[in-house]
Formats: sequence, C-alpha cells, structure tokens
Amino acid sequence: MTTALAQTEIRFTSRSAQLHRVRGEIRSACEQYRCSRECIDHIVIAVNEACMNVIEHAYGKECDAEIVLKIFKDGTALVFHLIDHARPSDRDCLRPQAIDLSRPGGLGVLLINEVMDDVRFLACAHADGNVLEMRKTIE
Amino acid sequence: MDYKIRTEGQYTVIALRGDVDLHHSPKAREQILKYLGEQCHVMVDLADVAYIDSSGIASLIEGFQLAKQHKLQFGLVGVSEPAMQVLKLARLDRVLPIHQTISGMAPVSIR
Repeated sequence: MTTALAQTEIRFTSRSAQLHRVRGEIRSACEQYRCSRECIDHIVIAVNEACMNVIEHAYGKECDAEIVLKIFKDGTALVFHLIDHARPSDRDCLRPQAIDLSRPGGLGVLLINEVMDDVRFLACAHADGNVLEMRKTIE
Repeated sequence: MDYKIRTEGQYTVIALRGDVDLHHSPKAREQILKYLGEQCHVMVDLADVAYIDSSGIASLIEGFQLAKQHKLQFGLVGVSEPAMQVLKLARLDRVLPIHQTISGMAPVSIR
C-alpha cells in the first residue's frame, strides 16, 4: 500500500532571521520523499537562495510581508512554489550568468539553476505578487 | 554564527562557526574586510561552518579580490562539507585558494 504524501506549506515573513527555520522545514519535507542526502542538501541550498531573493529584492526593506513555500510531488519531480505579494519580478532575473568575481551578484540564481531542472515564474492570480516554480527530478 | 580570531604564523585566521547566511554574513564580511584593511594576510577557517549561502560566499569573493588588490594573501582553510558543496556548485572551488591546513602552506614572502 502506498501512502499519499501531503503537500507541505511553509509560511514565513520577509526577515532573514527566518531562513534558518525555513531551511530546517524544507529539509524535513524533502526527507519524506526519500531523496538522497546530497539531493536534499542541494535542494535546501537552491530554495534558500530563492527565499533570499524574495526577502532581499522582491520585498526589499519590507520586513513583515508574507512568503509561502509549497512543496509537493508531481510524478518524478519534487515541486516548489514560492509565493510572494511583492511587485512582479523581472522575468529575466532567472537567467543564470557566468560568475564575475568583480561583481559576485547573481550567484544565487546560478545556484538555483545548477540544482533545479526547471525554474520559471507562473502566472499569478493577484495583481501584485509572484509565484516562482522550481522543479527537481528525484531518484 | 559566531567567529574567533587567532594568529597562525603570518596569518590572521578568522574562524567562522554556524550558519553564514543572509542574516549573519555581514558580520563575517566586516571581519574579513577589517583585517585586510589592516594589511593582514587572512585565512578564513570554514571547518565549523554548518551552512553558507551566496551572501557568505560573496563576502569571501570580496575578501579575495581586496587581498589581490593589496597584494595580500587570502584563502580558505579546513572547508566543511556543507561549505564545499556550495563552492563546488558555484565552481568556485577552482577559483578561491583552498588549503587543508595552514601549517602545510608555503610561507608568505616579505615584500
């Protein structure tokens, strides 16, 4: 008998101090899906970077804005939906660029793209806000 | 995250411990830039780093670049597995100077 795994929903506010807890909850959620330890480590790195981008760039200095992370399985992929209510993000910001040591910005996007198999913004139901979808095929 | 400063030979060693993430990396950056500003050769000890994100890595890159400008030595030592994972994903393990120990390093030439 197989047991359906529930979608995980993690809610947090746009404060960097929240990231430690969020990483722990992402790790716990991924452990349900029997991913390898390395795979979980990489997922935590990538999703943490996406959360950082929302805190730093989408919300800027707004400290108590809500962020929701949904995690669920879709076929062989583990799917992450990162939802915010900030101004729509520049869709080009997901394009990975070669590391430039004189300007290390963009490192987070590179890490996300290294780990995930697909990264894209979905159409958002609200006037304001973004839904970033990240998909990772798991073994 | 917390940190300790020690001297080993010609190096000022900044030993970071815990999570070097968006919340804490400004402290790490401040220490790195402070000692390089004092013209010290700096090694950042990452042996007890449980997690490092791109903001922490950016602080290391900034230190590396500043050290080059001032003709100072800068490197990483005792890199923990979680920190090495991030460096490898970003392919910076081939760019930043990484040492297992300080004692095995060549002495710094006097300018």
